[in-house]
Amino acid sequence: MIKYSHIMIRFGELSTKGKNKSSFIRVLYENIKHALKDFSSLEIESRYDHIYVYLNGEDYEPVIARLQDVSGIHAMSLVYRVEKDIEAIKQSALELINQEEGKTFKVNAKRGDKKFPLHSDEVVRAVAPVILRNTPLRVDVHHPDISVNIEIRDEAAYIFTRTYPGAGGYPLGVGGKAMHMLSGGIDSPVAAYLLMRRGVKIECIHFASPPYTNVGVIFKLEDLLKKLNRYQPTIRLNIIPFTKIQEAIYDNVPESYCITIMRRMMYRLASRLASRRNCPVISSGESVGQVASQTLQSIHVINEVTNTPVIRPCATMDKLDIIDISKKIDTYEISIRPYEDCCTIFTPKNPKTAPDLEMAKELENKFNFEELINEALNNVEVKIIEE
Amino acid sequence: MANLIYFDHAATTSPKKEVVSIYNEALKTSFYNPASAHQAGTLANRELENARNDILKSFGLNNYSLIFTSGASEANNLALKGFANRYKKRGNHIITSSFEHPSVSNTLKALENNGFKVTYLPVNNGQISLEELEKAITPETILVSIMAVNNEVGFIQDIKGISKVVHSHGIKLHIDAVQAVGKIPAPYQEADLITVSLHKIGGLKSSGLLLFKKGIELTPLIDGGGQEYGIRSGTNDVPMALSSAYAIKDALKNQKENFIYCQKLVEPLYEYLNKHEDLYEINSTIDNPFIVNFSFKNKKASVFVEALSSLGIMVASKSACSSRLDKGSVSLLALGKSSQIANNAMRLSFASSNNEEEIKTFIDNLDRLVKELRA
Repeated sequence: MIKYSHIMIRFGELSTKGKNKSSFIRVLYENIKHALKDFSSLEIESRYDHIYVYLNGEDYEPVIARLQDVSGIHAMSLVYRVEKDIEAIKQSALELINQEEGKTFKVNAKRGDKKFPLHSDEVVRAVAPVILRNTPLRVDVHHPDISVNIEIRDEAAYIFTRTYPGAGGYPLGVGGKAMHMLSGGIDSPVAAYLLMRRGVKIECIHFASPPYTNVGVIFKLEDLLKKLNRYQPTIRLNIIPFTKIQEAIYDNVPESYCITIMRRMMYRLASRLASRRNCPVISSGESVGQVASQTLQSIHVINEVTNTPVIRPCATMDKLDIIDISKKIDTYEISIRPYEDCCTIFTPKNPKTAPDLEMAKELENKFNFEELINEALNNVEVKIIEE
Repeated sequence: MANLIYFDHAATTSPKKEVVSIYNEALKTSFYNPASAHQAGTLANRELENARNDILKSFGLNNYSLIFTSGASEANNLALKGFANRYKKRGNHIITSSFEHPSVSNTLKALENNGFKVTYLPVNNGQISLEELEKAITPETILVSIMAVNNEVGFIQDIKGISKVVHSHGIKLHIDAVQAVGKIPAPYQEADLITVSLHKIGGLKSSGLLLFKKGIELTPLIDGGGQEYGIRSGTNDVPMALSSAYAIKDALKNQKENFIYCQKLVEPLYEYLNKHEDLYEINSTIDNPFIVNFSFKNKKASVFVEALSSLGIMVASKSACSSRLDKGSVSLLALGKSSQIANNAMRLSFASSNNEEEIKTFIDNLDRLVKELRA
């Protein structure tokens, strides 16, 4: 079993420069430290353009697995440390390349220690033949299957042949905060994950209407957020008591507009809570066109209540792609637990796919929703879900 | 959750104090494996057999065998699969009703996938018709399995009448007596196989019984060390057997008293439901005071279950969310009820631990909620 020395982490979105770059690296460093907190032997160092995770004998596989969920990482290489002796370097390079799969290879060398007797290209010319003689591999300098990268530094030589893809995106925290509408269905946790991958921290808002909605939904949300803790270690869940508003809509609004008006109330509540909680945007799992409230005209009429920007990460995704992600982040099985859509008091036979804005406003003005909204906002139940 | 008004005794009951103390004590003194060669094992075996005989005596079925199982579901599986597989050379046809417990109906479905034919008799007035039963019998019929008392709507079958028909053809009769024991008198000696559940009568969970007439053979579900006449292997749970013997004795002893008590208890409830015919449809029978089942004619039952739960009142309901596998109450559909009725039923089930104060609280709250909720 090869004992690798460390993991070399490369960042994504390298177009960030200056002040942004240093805060990007600082936040990423902290996130990596937190993600790896349960591995007691590791040492993490932030250096120039890379972050290094020294394994100190730790098995690399679980570390790599954990790092693959840390957004902001572009790629990770597994690095082997060897003494600065060309024979040792040749041996190690051979050993490492035998772990990899492919038909072609290329050797790259970089000489940081100018006192080393061989130049970089001499290193390449020393190592490549050893590989050619002892393996069935051929050289391809343009598109090699395997790259053997050798770096000679002051204290030692480093070789890596294997690179893992990272999650991409931005480190969690550099993107600011969004108030995310979490329903408990398949889409809203996926949308949350996509935001987190772009570096945006979320707070969640959920509308509870007991007894029309079941207490099991709240347990479901907690379980979903525990899964999302892998990407955001602490998530605040704001539960809005929505029963009175739901009943007022039921009493005053004709069936075909119930969903439209209900969503307008939700958007009002979300944007007001967002501003209270210093979130410059709200977000949701909505897609274009899946159900009546998600046609463009519905979105237009619903969104009209606020000018807080709304981000909908799933907007143009196919349902199957959303489900794939949901399975990847392990929220699918939880989302399909049967409490979500069930037993809402609105099951209109013909919900409006193209509601009229003026009609919606007229219907709303039949009851004093402002008072109900304020009351709801003054009775938010907060849960903090953390790993 | 504690200190609730609990109206779901047909689902399960809290173990009686004495049952728990017998069990706990036995864990200290009789935990031994009755199959062990040493004296402690021999004594434990003695206690096990005493418990077995006590239970048979309580039922008045001294010429029957009794097997301890992990519950009524296992007992039903053993009765049906065990009998069918043992006697399949005699025939492959089984008759049952259309509103059995899933541990019977799904077991029979599994047997259907294995070469058996099953007839599901209709239950239009809550009971199977003896004429239709007679008509359904064929030369291939080997077993009839009927629930003595239905768990959802409480209907009681005419076991004596069924037994006469069944036995006149030399066929055997299995009854699921889970909701009868301790509640409704049943002529156990008319049945060849009987399923009983302990946790429905103040006993412990994961404990059931299969009683059957001596001479009947069953193919085991669980092979192994050969315990329970070779029919149900696994180390015997002596503490469980002792606590079960007590629970059975206690339940059967107090059966008549409990029946009269619950009859009185449900009177105001039926009175209330009958007074509001526009809101409620009664699905249960007053012949069984342990179960009251009614449906909302134009409201969603699940919302009421949730609202009552928040008030500390626990009732049962079969929801029919399109997202779940539940298609609503099987029993109500079998009774020919409409979709609205079958999908919006509420079941209350009682024990002697309930009182009239609780019934009044339920009625008052239901009445208020039915006016307030926009369900």
